Amino acid sequence: MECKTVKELLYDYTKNEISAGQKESIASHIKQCHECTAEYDELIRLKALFGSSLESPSPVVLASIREKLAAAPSGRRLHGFLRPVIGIAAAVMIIASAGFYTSGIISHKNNITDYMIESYEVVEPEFYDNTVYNYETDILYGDVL
Amino acid sequence: MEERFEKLYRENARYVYNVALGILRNKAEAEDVMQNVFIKLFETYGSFRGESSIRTYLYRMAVNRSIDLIRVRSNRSSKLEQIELPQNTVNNQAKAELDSLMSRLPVELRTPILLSEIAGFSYKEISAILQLNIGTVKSRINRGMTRLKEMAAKEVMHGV
Repeated sequence: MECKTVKELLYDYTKNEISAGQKESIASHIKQCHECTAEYDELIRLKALFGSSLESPSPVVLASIREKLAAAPSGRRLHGFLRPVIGIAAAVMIIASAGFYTSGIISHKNNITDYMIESYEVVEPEFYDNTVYNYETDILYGDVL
Repeated sequence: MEERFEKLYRENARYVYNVALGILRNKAEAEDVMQNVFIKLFETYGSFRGESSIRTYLYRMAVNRSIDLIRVRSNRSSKLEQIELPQNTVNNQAKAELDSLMSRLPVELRTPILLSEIAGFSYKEISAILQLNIGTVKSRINRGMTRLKEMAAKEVMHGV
């Protein structure tokens, strides 16, 4: 493999996104070629800079995000939480209505319980199609940058 | 917070922040981006089918919001990006060197490098996040890394 090709593939080599054959050719080329070894070493040095330069977000901001998330509506979380509550509420109302009915206070049981149950009907969350990339068909979309 | 979302948040918050910070080069704006994308994701994440599509969507939102902020900022003042960085993000020598080099890369080369080096995404994942084909992603990363190496070599020659 020539130096030009090796240099073009060095980053792929460091990411291990390269064929086994190319990997082997590059590894043996680097062992023999000082210029490509220097190029490779510099690439590794630069890549290490990213790892050693990671910053942590402020703990105050992280705490604030957690707080906001706890209060934020989530389709999945809210519905999951509300379902048993709604079920219990409906059951309590049915029992209460039945009690009133048998005691003669309310004579229109069916209308009232139906209305109560309908009022608390669970609405299913909307479906969001957030698929951004189809790995099976390899379909890609427009250029955002 | 549900366990699944808690895990996603715990595993990605720092990386989302650092990708946004690398694009914006401004700590306060990067924190805003991180906050916005997690809250936005929390509202919709129930409809996702797999972890990989959630991560792709999360970083895509972070990148797009960061680029939007750069556009807004450039309408206000083209000098702001250069002014804020040294005060906010430089903590040590390695970071100072990286910041100095990355600040001279255009955002379209900087972004795929950040996704690769900070978040550890593959070419395929980066192509999904940036909605670019894999060839373009590879070419931008290679061009960016080549420029970084050239700039680093010049700095050594000039004793910077």
